[in-house]
Amino acid sequence: MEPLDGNAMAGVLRDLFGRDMTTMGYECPGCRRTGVVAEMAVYMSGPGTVARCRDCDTILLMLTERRGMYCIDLPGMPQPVLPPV
Amino acid sequence: MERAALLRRLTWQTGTVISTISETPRVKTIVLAVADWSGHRAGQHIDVRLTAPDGYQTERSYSIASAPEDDHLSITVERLDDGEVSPYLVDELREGDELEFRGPVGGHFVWDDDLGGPLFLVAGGSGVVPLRAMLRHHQAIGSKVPVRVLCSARSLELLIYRDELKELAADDLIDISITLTREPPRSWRGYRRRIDPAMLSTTGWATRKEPLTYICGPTAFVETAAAGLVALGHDARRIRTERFGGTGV
Amino acid sequence: MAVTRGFIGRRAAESSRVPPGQYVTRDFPVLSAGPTPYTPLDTWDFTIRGAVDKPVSWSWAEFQQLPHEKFTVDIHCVTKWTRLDMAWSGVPLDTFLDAVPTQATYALAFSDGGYTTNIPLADLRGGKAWIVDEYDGRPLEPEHGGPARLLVPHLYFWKSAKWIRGVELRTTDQPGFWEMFGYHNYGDPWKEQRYYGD
Repeated sequence: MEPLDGNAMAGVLRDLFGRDMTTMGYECPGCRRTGVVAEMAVYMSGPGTVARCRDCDTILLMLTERRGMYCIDLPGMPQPVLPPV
Repeated sequence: MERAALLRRLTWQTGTVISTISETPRVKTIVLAVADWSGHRAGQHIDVRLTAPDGYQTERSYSIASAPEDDHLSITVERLDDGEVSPYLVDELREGDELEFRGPVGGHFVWDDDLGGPLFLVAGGSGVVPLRAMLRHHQAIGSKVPVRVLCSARSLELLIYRDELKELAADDLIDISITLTREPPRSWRGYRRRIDPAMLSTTGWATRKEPLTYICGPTAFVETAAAGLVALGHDARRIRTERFGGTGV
Repeated sequence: MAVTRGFIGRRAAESSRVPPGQYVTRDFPVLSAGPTPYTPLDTWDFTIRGAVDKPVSWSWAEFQQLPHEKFTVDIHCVTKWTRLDMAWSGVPLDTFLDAVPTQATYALAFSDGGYTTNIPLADLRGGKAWIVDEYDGRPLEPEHGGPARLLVPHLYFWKSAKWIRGVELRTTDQPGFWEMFGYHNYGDPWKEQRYYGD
């Protein structure tokens, strides 16, 4: 199935971080491609959300919800600088 | 960042449906009255959440169709036959109903006058919705940024905002091109094929103009348009994209 | 919680066949955590490896020759849909496992695209799990896991790895893709074992 993009995660990320996160930068640990969260290839149909590099499919962000508690992993953002609120 | 567990903040709010407008046989605009609407930027979207009597909940993202300057917040929804949310919104939702949503969200696929141009807006099917918000915003603020628009639809009947696009095209600053991929009328003088680099080159801007481009539509459409523009020599950093799951164009 | 007027959504069925918290669907939703691999059949194989004397592989042609079973089961996905009476055809895992002696008690299924999921080996034996290559009388579509997927219908559907390429037999348990990310290690839908700690 065709992936969406990081714009589709704007709502949940905004909810979690209290600011827009789709303009935040990343660097792919697989191929070193750089970009912003909005450009990631996003798969949302499974048990959780998986965002991958558009070029090499390396996982950049994973997000799962467990009864109102979210768990997030950001392998594409080893030293994230949160955008201003 | 290390793996983090975060407690969800509840930020859902409610709007009241004040009208619905049929745009095409399977597309409706839903106009909402929202108390204390925070305002939005053209191109942003909202997440809509539906709750069944037995507690089952599901949510989907929809682009905001209205300009920040419009009186009311509106979204335009295409009915997907195998969808769970869009058939409800298009067939069942009516005036007076309450709709739960959160937003506005998204800071990437947005346009304000400060970002300048010239603008090239490329829409596949209902991908025209956030671009329409940008066009209305452009009109509302009297922007001097020149805009070129390329809309792809299956047929004239399925072209969303057909009359409004015609009116917008009367503005000297706005050029609108339309391609109909399935059933163009015999008298149709516009394009009658899927978008390709030649069409993007003719309807868009020369690379030396360094246009700011927004592409929205189904994933395959967006990939084709973005790759075509990059192949023509446009700077990928000046191309913003938004993909959605939907029907082809 | 504000109920949306007129929205029914998926129907919660009062049926002894529907586990708690599940809703019956008539669709076959596509669940993916990554791109569809489209592995050519002439390079596809299925391998049992890990805690064995020697890994054993079956080519697509060899897999096709193995006796297939046709069976109908209910499928329960952790995203809360249940679909009743899904008709499959495939080879029981016993066929492969009986060919490879092992001391292992755990299994880690692995797939094209990097997906993994862990299952106690006992749950793959005794006619409770299959490698399926046909759904509803037709070859399994790539978006649903074709050419072949694992099917373990008594556990939540994420355990039924799409695009399966083999099973690693282990003496220690190794959490898979979703298990590492907060989902339940075993995933019994009747005990509603959705998340770690359930």
